[in-house]
Amino acid sequence: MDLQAIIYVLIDSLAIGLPYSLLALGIFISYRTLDFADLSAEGSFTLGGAVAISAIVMGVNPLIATILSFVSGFLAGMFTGILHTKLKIPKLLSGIITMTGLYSINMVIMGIAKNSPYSNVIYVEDNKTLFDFLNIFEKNYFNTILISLIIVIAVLIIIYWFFGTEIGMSIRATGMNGNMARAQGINTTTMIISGLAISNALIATGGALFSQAELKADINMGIGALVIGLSSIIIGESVFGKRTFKNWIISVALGSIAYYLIIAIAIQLGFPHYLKKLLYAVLITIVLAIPLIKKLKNKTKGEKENVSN
Amino acid sequence: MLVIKNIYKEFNLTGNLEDKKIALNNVSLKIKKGEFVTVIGGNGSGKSTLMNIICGVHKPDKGKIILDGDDITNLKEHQRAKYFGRVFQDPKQGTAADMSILENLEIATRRNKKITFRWGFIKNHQLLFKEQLKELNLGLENRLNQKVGVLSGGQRQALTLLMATINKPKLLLLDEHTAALDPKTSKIVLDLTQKIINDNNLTTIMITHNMRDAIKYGNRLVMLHNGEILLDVSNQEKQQLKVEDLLNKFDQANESITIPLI
Repeated sequence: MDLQAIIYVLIDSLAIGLPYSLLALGIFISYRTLDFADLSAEGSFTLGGAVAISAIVMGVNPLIATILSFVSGFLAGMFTGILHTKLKIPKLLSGIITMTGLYSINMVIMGIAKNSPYSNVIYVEDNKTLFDFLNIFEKNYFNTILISLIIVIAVLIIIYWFFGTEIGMSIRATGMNGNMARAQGINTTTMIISGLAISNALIATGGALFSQAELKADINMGIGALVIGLSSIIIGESVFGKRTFKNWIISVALGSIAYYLIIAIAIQLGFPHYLKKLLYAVLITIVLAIPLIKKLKNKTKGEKENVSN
Repeated sequence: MLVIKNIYKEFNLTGNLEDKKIALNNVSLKIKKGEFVTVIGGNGSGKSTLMNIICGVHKPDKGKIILDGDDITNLKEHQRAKYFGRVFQDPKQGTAADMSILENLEIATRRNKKITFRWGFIKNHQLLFKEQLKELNLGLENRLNQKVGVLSGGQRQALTLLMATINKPKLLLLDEHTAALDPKTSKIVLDLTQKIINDNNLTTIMITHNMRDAIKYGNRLVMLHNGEILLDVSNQEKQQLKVEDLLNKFDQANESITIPLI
């Protein structure tokens, strides 16, 4: 790879990785703090994109369109939470139900802007996106990266603050130990619903940024979102650590950039596009096996030391 | 103070009528302020169900739970938590492993308060917690920022005990809280329990399956068998009780049950 290609790969990973770090942070909230592998992520990522682009096409200010995405994701997460806590539907199934329902809803939303009953894809066309607000750099993708970076940093600060508040701490306790939480007077039902709402709100915002960077939303953009998010979390944790909560969330955000760097390098090296999802699957398998491999390594190391002693 | 009135609870996990099991059969119990009641009974005697019904984990099929004159039978588990301090059998259950000692204690101090978006750490709490942890004599006072997951079972139970009593609950509920500990640690935690109860003058219910502990601690002993109260002795009478008396009582109860032949 020559230097230009390397720079191109880096820029590309940042441009895609930054919107995806909101996705990863959202999944971090459901998966790590609430211990809830929430498949609604696949639907709410697309939902965020669909809402944002449709609103932009209909003339809504891009900032407000992005906020609308946040709200739509919030509602989707609440729905999954209610399915699980009130109707006692298992976690995985609750997420699948929301994801499935959202597939149709997303098509309808994308249809609205086109005055048709439904649509599979919608383009920004000549409308301005969130990334057109700042024109510091000549090259457009630098502006995109800068704005994404500002948003991601702001979100990180808000997450750090939120999980340090009384309510945020209660959400974390709920995910770690429901019995303890209830014994300490925490309404675990409310905490699960609000936790999932915040998680999906972030995921939808990630979708809104991603689709504005790509200048389109399409019905399949959310496929693999959960896998991408989980891989980013685990890569982030194993590379950048999780000693404190602050360190942990920053690692997750960096993890998604690292993840995209790996994918981008693979594609630069000639990995065919149509096998990308297979690459995702292989990557997450490797990443999920890392803790086990580490353990085995430590064990054999320990045995060797014992022998030498 | 706490009135348990004609509680009836049955479990039927399979839905078949023959699998029906009566866990508590019209149990009534009045607990006065300042009493330290030990509850003993074998497996399936209903002692855990009784505890779970007081806490709100299970709802009784019939009967009422009244606390200081208020009917709390329909309150949910988390709504009752403000009245109770609870320590579980499993040391892992009472604390959040991935949170620090400080965070766990902060959560415990808010048990009887409404939670908001206020910052969850209060500055002058740290000193207070350090003092209280020092009382436990386990060296935890210098480990406020360590995650609870790294503590031993005994340390976790002691911490749970502190969390349960930090804002002086109306009733302290101990559910075989030393059953998972080794004998030495068990004794340390039990003595600590006694000390905290004495210092704060707490009304307590302690479930145990250790007859010696049931006799040694507390000023009232209740023995449950097959969902019914078999024995209820207080003060003087309890002090004279011996392990053999309890065993005899237990055998008598078992003999009186006719086992149906298949």
